[in-house]
Amino acid sequence: MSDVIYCEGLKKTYKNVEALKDLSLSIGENKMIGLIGRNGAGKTTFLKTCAGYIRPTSGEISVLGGKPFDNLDVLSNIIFIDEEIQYNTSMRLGEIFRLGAIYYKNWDDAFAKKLLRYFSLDVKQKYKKLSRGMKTQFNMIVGLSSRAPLTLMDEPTLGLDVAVRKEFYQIILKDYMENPRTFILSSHLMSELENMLEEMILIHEGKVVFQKSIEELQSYAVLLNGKQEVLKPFLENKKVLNTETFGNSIIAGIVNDLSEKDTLFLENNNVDISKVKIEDIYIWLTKNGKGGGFDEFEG
Amino acid sequence: MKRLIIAILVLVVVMTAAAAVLLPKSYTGSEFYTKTVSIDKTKDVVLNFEGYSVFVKESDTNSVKVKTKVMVNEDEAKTLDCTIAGNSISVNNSNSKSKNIVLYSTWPWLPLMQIKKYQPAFFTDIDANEYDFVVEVPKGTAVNVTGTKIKVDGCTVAYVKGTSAEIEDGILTRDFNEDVGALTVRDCNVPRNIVFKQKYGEIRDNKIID
Amino acid sequence: MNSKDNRQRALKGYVSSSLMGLKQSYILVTFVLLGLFAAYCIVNVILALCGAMSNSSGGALLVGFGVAAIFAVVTVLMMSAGKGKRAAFIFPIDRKTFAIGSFIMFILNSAFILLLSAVFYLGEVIVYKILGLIFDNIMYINNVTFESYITGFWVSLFYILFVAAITFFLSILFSRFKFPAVIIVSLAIGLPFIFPFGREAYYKFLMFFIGEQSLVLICLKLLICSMLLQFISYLPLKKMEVIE
Repeated sequence: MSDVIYCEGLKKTYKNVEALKDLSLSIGENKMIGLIGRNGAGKTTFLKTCAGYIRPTSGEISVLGGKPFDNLDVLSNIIFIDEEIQYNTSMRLGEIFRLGAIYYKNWDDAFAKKLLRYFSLDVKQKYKKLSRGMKTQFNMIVGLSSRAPLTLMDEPTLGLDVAVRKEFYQIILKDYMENPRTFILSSHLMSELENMLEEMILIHEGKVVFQKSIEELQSYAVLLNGKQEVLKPFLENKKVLNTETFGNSIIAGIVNDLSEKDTLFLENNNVDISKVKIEDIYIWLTKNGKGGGFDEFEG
Repeated sequence: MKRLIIAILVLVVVMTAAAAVLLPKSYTGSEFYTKTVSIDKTKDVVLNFEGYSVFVKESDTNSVKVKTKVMVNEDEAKTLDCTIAGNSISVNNSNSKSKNIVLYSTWPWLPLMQIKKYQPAFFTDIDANEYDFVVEVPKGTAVNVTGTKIKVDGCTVAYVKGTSAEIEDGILTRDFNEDVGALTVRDCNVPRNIVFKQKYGEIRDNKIID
Repeated sequence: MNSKDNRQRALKGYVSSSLMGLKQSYILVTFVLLGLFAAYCIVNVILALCGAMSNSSGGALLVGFGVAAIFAVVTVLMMSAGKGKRAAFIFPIDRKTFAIGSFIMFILNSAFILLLSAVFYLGEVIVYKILGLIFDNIMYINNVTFESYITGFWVSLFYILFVAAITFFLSILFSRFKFPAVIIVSLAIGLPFIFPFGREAYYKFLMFFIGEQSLVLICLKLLICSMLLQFISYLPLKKMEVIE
């Protein structure tokens, strides 16, 4: 399977700020990828580089087999949806659909209009008159209807209430199953998305911290809850991601490399072992060494 | 997109056709219209330019030359003709007769100003028309002029009829009755017995002859 | 990947989106021209009926050319400004498509206003001809011939194209290089006026266009210079990033 995106040592510097530092990754075909990271981690810069909006300062990037910057053959197969999209103020939704049909050879007009009706929008409405949430809905509709082989969405559900967000997740998933292609969704609401994603990429300070499948991530760490006198010596030989103490108790998130012997020991000493949410792993890994997690992470 | 292109093309074709019908084919506005009429020099010349201002002057030719400086369109220029009966010349231009208001469309597209050929009339040789017609008559032939505003220079004047008349350097041959509203006679040879009946006028620097 | 197909799609899309985006401006300018035409006809008719000899020195063709030039400058600034560029690059286009598409838009915008003016001018002629038929004392003299009407349209189109190309060039230069570009361009324009040879050069440059008496040559000169300017504008565009 060929890579849809391949980056090696990618750097992007804005004046004195390094937005991307030596970013390397590869993304295969027809995958649903989640892109996570703190504010300013470099997610949007990475997506804009993939969408050909900006030029990398150094390093290599290949999207759909070519460099994306100013490459029409690559760009024709990409759609980038973000909250900053500003269609011309006088345009109506139906007109934007007409443009979509011109620009994207796989544009599904029937699907676009169906979604528009579903979300109670009208082709005659002007884009500038939509509320923020409605604009987000419309942008998502355009993103899905383009059927672009690479669909990049930066915070696609911003401004949507939880009910609409869930509806959209279902629609995206259904559409992805029926028309497989590569999706990269950047969002802060990973707990909502994790059930539909296949892989997650964590970017922190312009670098890829990890790129793992959801299954791997779900079993990547465990949460231990027990007495301090039992856990403290036990944790000395473990990769600790986070610890919290409550009186005599300690709750610790550690990398899941527990052996059978370890599990037996913990059970015998009344230590609770539970799963860790992916969101928590993301938080622990990106807190800049405050809990010691990221510093000790080895990928 | 296709519909838009077709609509524009149709508009262009219709416009071109309409322009071909509505606009003059060639630029004639500043041209002089000249007509030469042969006459019997021994008899009076009768110039009937009723409704127009006319300037009559003497020349060394044997015929009468009628020139007009009125800005006219191509189609109107063709109909600007005269009726000639012996020594009598009458203007028969029904189109412009007694038309005292003129609407002009003088400016073409602005960038065309740089090309001399297309410069509008007032950029070239048309100045404000003081007289609609300029008529040259052979030396010594007496003139009999009907018009609105009349000027006669250096001719033998037999009769004038109009709102105003100005005669200079000429020779008067007959009385002036009330057919002229305001009369000016200057530097002329005036027979002693000629009678002027005008209420308004100026008789100055003339030479009285017997 | 079919490059030719992608190029055609991008170009068609860019021109279509620009046309859609300018729809309101087109409507506005149509009403402005219509208003001017109506006001102008009414004033002339009143003047004529009052017995004043009126001269249509500011007819629809003259006004239309002025409006077309202003419209060209405004639309070019709209297209080449940050917001306009951002709106253009929402969809998949490259910088070459942006430059070529903009050039096509210059032609379409200019042609639209000039066509409109040409239609209004015919309306003006019809109004005057009707007046001439109704009132015996009114004579209509038209010095705009069919030939000058048609050729003038083309020369005007190329002149406005040239104005649009200069505006686009300066706008791209300023938006790409910001303050240094303002200084350099101001000096480049202003300094030659100090020296006689500079003034002469300006005069020669001006006469290169307005001194030309051949219709074909003037159109060719304007077209080639506009295309050249657009190509020069494309060079700084090539590395332009789409940033807010």
